Amino acid sequence: MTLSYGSDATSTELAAGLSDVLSAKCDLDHVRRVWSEGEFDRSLWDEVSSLSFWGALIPEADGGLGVRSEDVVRSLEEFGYSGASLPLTETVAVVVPTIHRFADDEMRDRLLPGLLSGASVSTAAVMPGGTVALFADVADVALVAAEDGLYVLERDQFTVEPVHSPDPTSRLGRIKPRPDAFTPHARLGEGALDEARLRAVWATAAVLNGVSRRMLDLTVEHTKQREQFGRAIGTFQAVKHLAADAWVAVESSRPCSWYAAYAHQEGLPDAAVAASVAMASASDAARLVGDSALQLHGGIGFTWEHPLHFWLKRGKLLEHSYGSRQFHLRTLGVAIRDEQAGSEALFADV
Amino acid sequence: MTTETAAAKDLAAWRAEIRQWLSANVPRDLVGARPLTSPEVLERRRAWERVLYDNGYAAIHWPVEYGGKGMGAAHRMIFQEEYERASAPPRLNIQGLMLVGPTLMQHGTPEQRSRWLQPILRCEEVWCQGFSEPEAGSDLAALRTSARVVGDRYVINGQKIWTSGATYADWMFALVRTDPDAPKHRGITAVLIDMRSPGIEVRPIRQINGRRTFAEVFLDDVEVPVANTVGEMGDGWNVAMSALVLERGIGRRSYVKYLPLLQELRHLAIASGGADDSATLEELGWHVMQVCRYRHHVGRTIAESSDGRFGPEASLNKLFWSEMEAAIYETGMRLHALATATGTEPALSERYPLWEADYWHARATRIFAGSNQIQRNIIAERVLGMPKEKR
Repeated sequence: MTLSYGSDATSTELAAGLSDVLSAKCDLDHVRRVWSEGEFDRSLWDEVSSLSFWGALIPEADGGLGVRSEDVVRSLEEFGYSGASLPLTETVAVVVPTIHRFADDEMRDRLLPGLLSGASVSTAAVMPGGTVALFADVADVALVAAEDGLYVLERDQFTVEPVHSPDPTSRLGRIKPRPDAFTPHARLGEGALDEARLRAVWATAAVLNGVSRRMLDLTVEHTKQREQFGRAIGTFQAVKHLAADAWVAVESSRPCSWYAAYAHQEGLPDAAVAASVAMASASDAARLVGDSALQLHGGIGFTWEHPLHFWLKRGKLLEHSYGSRQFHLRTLGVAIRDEQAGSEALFADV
Repeated sequence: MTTETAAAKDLAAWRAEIRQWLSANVPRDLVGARPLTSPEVLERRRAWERVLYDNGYAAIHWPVEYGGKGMGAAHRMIFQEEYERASAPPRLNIQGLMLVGPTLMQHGTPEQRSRWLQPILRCEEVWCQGFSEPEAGSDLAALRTSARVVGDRYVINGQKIWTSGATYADWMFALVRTDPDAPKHRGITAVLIDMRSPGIEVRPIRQINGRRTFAEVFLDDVEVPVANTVGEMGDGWNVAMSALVLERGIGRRSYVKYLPLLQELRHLAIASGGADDSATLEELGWHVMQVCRYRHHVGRTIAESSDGRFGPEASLNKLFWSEMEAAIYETGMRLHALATATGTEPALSERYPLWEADYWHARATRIFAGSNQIQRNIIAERVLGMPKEKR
């Protein structure tokens, strides 16, 4: 089978549907308003909920859309591109499919309807050693990693302490479980934590690539408009080369998140490596694109008025969520230390 | 019809077929044979090319009517991956198979195709590319080698440089200036030159790694039939540009080529005692990431090319692999020096000189086939639509 890397009809139609809503309801003025008001963007959340998007990855029979993991990658990019501030990644890619697969019937029946309709907001704190999560203070349901697995906590079972992040609209907070929260009943089945982690990593990589694409587009547009020495600054090679390198970085990163989702869906032996590649390359790209974007915008990029900083800060948050670049690079380093370079754990045959 | 034939053949079955055939047929004594261009090794490489031809694998991407299999990019990439996995010898007639053949199919006359395509396929005539000149590197259109029309022949004078394979090539696909008065992009013509012609002198260039894989080619009143013109006289720039996209494009190297290099870095890191050091682990991880990125970028490009053709995005390909390769060799130089200092594994020291020679070669890849600065210009102007600079 030829890998589509997201050029197939399912991927593009799903992404177009989401993108239509986001571009109609989440224009620059809307993004500015969310950043200045500091409230959770409930109206946009409800708009996306009306698309039946949250259940994209669970079967139609259970109220979802029944698409494959890799089919949502383009949509996740569009979300990152839009600048919307929603727990979209966590809900569609992590919480709903993980609960669907690993929760017992009682919990599924109790939680899934609200999650699918958008009546419940959810988040995930699944990386090693951390309990901070995006949108923690508005979450009704949280997946929380503990030493012995992954737990589902509901609103009355945790409190939230706000923590600083470059992007306040993503509402980063520390989830503090109540002492009796980790009950056997709240614990998801074996393998849930690994699964949730993989999902969070490839999905966030896709979103981050969308953030990078937006920064690059803003920057290229700026270099075509801004004149110095009597010509558009985009004429100069010094400017072109930064933009070209930024483009190479993001375009070589995008297919990695698609492949990571695909490898995960297929259960390929390189799924874990692919997820770390996706996140490390998305972080690499975001850092490079963000640096060049700010540099090439010159003074205007440093103003609050110019929109670049919304994506810069979103990028800076996501670069360090779900495992930093260094964390994932070390994971890859350990993988090649412990396996032959040609092994299927690093490069599966497809 | 071509695409349908290719699509009908299941990719996994194709991979299995190639893998099995290569494992049974790649001559073991040619794997790692050096130097690749010694007369004796060249002779064995020609014989291997003949084996590929006899089994229908010489040019799977060529249309069936010219003796290929009419296979698309996905099949080609699988062939390339398996070819590299089998450590099969580097293809001897890359310029013929990848550049000259496809260019003749696109721009050549029926007579030219029947004269030159078969010998390329059978590796009876090996080709080199004569584009660069001492004063025409990145500014290729500044080339000066002149071709005067005298009757039905060109009389060619000038100099080409950095010509790979010039010492053993039978033919050169060259750009020459046929009209010195035309604007510089207009007066250029593509011609096919017999390397045995009187007046041609080839002088190998000794490179910083001691190898002599490039050469200077001097042309002194070399006579070439006007019938050897590819495309229209004066239209050589356009012919060359379509050829260069082929040269930079997808299908000539897969990520598998880099697996032995990753394996060597792994081995070096362990031998030098650095494999538990987190800086080294991150560095190794970074190379794994880059090779994966290259793999999936290539896969994505193939998935998105409906008709097997690639646009200016091909510039990403060449830019990416050349930078990736140079970085891998850079890490290897550090680890080799470290492993030498610790002296734990003498066999590694024997590999060091070869690694170093390849290291310097990897630096050349950032310059040849259009320097990476030129690739960045192409990406900025033709992909990102940034304004052209007056050049």
